[in-house]
Amino acid sequence: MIDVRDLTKHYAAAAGLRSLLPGRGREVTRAVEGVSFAIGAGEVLGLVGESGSGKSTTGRLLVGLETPTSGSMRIDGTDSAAARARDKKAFHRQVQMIFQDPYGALNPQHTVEDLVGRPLLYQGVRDRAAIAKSVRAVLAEVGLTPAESYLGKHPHQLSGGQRQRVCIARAIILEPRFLVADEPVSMLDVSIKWDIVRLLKRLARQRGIAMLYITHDLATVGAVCDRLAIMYRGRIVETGPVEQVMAAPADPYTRTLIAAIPSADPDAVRVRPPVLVQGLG
Amino acid sequence: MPTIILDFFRAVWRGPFGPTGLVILGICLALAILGPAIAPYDPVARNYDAAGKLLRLASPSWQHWLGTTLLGRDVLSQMLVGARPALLVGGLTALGTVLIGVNIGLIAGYFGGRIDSFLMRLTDMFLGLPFLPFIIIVLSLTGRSLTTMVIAMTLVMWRSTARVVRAQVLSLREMPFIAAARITGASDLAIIYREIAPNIMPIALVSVAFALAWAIITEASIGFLGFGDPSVVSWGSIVYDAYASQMMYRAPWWVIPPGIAIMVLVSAVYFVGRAYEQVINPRLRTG
Repeated sequence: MIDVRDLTKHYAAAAGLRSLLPGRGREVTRAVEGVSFAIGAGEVLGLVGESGSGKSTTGRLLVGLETPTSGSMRIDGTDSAAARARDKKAFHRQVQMIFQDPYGALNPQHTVEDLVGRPLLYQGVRDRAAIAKSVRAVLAEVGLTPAESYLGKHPHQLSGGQRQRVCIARAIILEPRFLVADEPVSMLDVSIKWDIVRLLKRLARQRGIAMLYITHDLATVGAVCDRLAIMYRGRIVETGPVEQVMAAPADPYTRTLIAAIPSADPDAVRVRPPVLVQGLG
Repeated sequence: MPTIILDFFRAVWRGPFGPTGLVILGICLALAILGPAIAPYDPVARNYDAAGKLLRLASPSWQHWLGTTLLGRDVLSQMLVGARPALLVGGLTALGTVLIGVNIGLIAGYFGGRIDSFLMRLTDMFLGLPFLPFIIIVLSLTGRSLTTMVIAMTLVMWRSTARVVRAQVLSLREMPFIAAARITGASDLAIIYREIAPNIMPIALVSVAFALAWAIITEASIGFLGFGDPSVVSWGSIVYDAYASQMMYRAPWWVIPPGIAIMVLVSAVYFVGRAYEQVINPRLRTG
């Protein structure tokens, strides 16, 4: 249902003196270079890559925080750029995002009830009783129970895991079809990481949300993702079901990534392949 | 919004200076409201003694607690009545300053680009206006009244608030919670006034305090320089009358009370402002 085709984002590099030399055009940074993938309803696609590989930019392009240089995204066959131009609010109801930093993603001045209810307000819902009811329902759904005890709290009174649950509640209250989770657990304690990961997977399944799970951490992808797409320097170098990619990586960069996963078993025989890839330098 | 006001009082109530300032401010506010009602005499009426002789520069007595002026007017009554213009001009100017400064800062900082350049060059132009001469010239050209004084003072005071708020907005607008609001379909106006504005309220409150103090001093200065509304008795104009009559040494009771009142009121406002600033700015907490 989510169909991304040839998504490309180039940033104009700062024009230095060199760009004035004859024969030199304006240089560009190719953050995302022809990325294509599809995600079905209730499916979780893991987008894995190192810092600077363009995975976060891909996420921001898809939710409309940045404008792609070229390429398209279709939701149920409808082109989202056209849909967004026609009705911005309707587009944002379908596509939501969970941010990496649950501290910065919540307005410190708002209470949990405000934070979770605001999306409905911004969508033009004026019925306060209906908003209050939805807020309580989604809080319960993300595991913040009893919901009443959280409503009046400010973000600084919550733990990192609770904050990320509030972010998830805010993202699902509009009942989106597509959810981008940008490294949602990378700033959380290991002990709560898995709870959040399992919650995301359950929500995708129960609500039939297509989810793009962006991460650099291959250790958690097995628990949440159905398929993996490995991204390197703006391109997707390998895709496939999680088990297949992890067991038999085809691309040399993927092999390097998998070899870098730390193992808890000191006796495990590890064959480290030579590093075949060159960094961004 | 009410939580922010409540937080304000809770923050200021800590430490010795905040409460002191708040109490003094409260007394001055009560004087501004009740002053004319509790003043024992008409502040501009001439007073005569039992023999029918004008009470010129009478020293403090049971009839006239703070003595009388050269024209036989009761200083205590003038003091009680003079609190109102100080707080009225100060309060309205502070309000105007913050409304204009905060909105210009929000809009410039949020939209950036050409809008920001235009508004900031405008701010620079206003920063070029000399403070007191500008107010005096406006008062001379348009007639001396409290309203013109408030407008003139607001025009030269919003500029610094606008700059401070803009700087704050520039960092706030890059926060993930702004992106989060944007992807839920929030309009620019909703983001500015519902997401960003609550976060600059503390800074706005500090600038209210300092604008208030500065406006009270300026109102007194204008009165002292003789450019105030001639029909209004204010603390500044009392000092002016004493100075102009050259009787300050012979009648210290005439000039000391308004001088002290201005000083105490302004320091009270600063106490409150500083107490609050220390709470919202962790870097000042150790100092």
